[in-house]
Amino acid sequence: MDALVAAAIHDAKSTLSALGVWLSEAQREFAAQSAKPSQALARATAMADTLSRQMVELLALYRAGNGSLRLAVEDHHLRDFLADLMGELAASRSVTLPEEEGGETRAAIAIHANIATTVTADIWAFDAYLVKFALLDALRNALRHGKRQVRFSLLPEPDGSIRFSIEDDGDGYPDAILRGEETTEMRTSGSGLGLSFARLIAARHATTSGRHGRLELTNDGFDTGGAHFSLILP
Amino acid sequence: MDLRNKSALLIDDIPEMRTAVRVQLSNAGIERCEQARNIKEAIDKLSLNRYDLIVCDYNLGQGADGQQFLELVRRKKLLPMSTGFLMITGETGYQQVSTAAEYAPDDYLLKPFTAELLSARLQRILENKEALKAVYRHMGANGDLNKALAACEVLIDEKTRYTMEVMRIKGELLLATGKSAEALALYDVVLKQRATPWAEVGKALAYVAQGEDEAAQQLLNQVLVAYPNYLAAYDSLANLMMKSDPPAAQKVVEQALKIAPSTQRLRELGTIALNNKDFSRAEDAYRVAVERDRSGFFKSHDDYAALARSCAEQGKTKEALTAVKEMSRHFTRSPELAARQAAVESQIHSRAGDPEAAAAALIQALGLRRESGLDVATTLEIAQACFAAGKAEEAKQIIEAVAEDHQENDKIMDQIRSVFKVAEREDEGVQLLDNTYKRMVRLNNEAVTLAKSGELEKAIAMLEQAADRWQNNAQISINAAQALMMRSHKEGTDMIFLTQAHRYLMRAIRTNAEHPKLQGAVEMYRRLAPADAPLLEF
Repeated sequence: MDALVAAAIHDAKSTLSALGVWLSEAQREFAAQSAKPSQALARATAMADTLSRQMVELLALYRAGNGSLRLAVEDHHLRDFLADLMGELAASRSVTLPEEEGGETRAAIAIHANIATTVTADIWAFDAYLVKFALLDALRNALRHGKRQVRFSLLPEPDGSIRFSIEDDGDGYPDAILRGEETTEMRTSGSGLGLSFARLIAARHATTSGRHGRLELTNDGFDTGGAHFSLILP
Repeated sequence: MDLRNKSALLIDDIPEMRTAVRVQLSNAGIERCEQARNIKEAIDKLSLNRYDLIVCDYNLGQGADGQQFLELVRRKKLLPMSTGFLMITGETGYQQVSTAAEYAPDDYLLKPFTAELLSARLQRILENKEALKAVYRHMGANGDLNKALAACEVLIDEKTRYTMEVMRIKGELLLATGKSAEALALYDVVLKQRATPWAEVGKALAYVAQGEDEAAQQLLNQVLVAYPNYLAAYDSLANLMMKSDPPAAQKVVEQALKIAPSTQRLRELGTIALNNKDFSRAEDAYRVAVERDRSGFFKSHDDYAALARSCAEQGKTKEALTAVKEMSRHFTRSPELAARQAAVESQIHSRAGDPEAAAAALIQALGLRRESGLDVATTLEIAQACFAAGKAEEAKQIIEAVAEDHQENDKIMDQIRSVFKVAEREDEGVQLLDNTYKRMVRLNNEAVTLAKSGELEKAIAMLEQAADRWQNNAQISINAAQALMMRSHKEGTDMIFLTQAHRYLMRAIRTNAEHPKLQGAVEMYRRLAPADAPLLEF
């Protein structure tokens, strides 16, 4: 049964991968014949993307459950990583979908992204693929809950780790989430598994001196009680 | 960077995927794109053309994967370091590619990806290759690692965004050129700034090079706790443990196999299990390897021979003989195949206590050896069969000829030691290799002495005779070439001597391009050869 679940998720992902490629191609063909881009195709592409993302999280959590989640820790240029991240976020925000379809209607919210000058390393060793997923999820959440702005920063930690910090100026996390519980409340506000995923990915990062990564959730975003998500990598 | 004048080779076994990626490459600006359906086609194209970029799918069908392909072409130096390698993978392949040990792709891209992401990654890879060009130039087939090191220094002084990549390469170069203390210092500098697995493993390798095996082992074990999927750490640890604790080394390979179940690693496990006399584990490993590579590019006589031996050692004579018969179905007929089959079969019969059948098969193998030149693996298999059949002297004669010819090839020397080990005659093996080595050194020294005392003619006669007998011995070829060049120089330029010297130098380049004396000899040739002498490409 276990093997079947993994295989099924995997099959679905492969199909989505092919679908994504052909949807982009269809968009290009459409653009060649029409002055206006196809709204329907854009929506279909965005949905295929969302589905793929959900599959990745599902697969990772499933793998963590049966002990086969593997991190690929390699060096990455932090600037390139942030550029990729913002690029992907912008690509998914550029498609405006009605909220009930899982889209982001409040594309007007400003994101301020910056690397603190106190971060001296250009390069960090981590699993860029999984960390990017966790951060994108957190950014999308911040955009959904923030009122006017979202701040995304990279900061140094006193113990030599780095901190990815995402704050919004919304109402903050519900108490249950701050206590680390998985509640139904959480599920109604989007992908409830996103935070579990992020916590898992952070904790799996470690060094030979025994430091581990971690997740910190607080309600001090913009000093107005907004949600503040921090993913710390050793 | 403009991608329009860049050329790419796209490798994928699925036509639809090839078409889809081809479209995306074209959107990224790369129009000059050739395609290959499998490893064989890709290798054919790589031997003929140079590409700026290889885009390869991880899953290549027929039991082969992109990682195997990358390792093969890097090891055979078919793929210059200056060519970028982008691996495209699904979720499963990603876990193996991204933790790949010695030969890692420049980047990998997970399906699904957008044309924009592909384009951005290609840009990054090609810019990186451009920036490190000065280093890579000296890392090819005929490169000079010390020049590569010097180029690293220059780049590090320039403080570009590539400093860390250069440091990483520099560490590897320092280790490769035996400068382990400097390597250790470099890794410590990197690790002081931040934690990263490659520097930890590099540091462990530097410890090994300095003879501090215990410190290396301790560090590698820590690395595996922090980075449980970093295959390079498993490989290094397994190598290290092979010396002190082979059964523990086998366990380490088993662990690595769980993370990345590649056929190559299965073979490695089989080899270690055979060495540890864990024959049933060896049988399992080779059975899977043989099954997976049935039609693949990497199928090899060696796997079947090892499978047969694993079975025979457990007393499974029937299964062992079946493995030998299977070879006829999966390989093209050749003297090498027939000789290998006969030699393995002979050993199976010896093991099963049937000396007559063993002798009959052995006679067949020896006959084939007389009729045609066989490769080293087959020749050593015949020697092994001789030992098994109680013909130790014949075995040693055969091995001696191989040892003389391949003196400089450490891998073949290891294979010879392993033949003696299987025959439970390790001490005799050490003795034989030692004697052979001394004999070859003496021969070379005598010739050099003759040459120095002015008896060039005698030296040349001696070396030419030796060079024609041991065609894979680069040292002898180089000495023969040098004596011929000296004579031409002394007696006035002589095209006959120079042409002959050219032939020996070409042979040395072919057999051992990295021989330390080769560069000097080549330079001497270029100095002496007039314009109409054959050109020496090196």
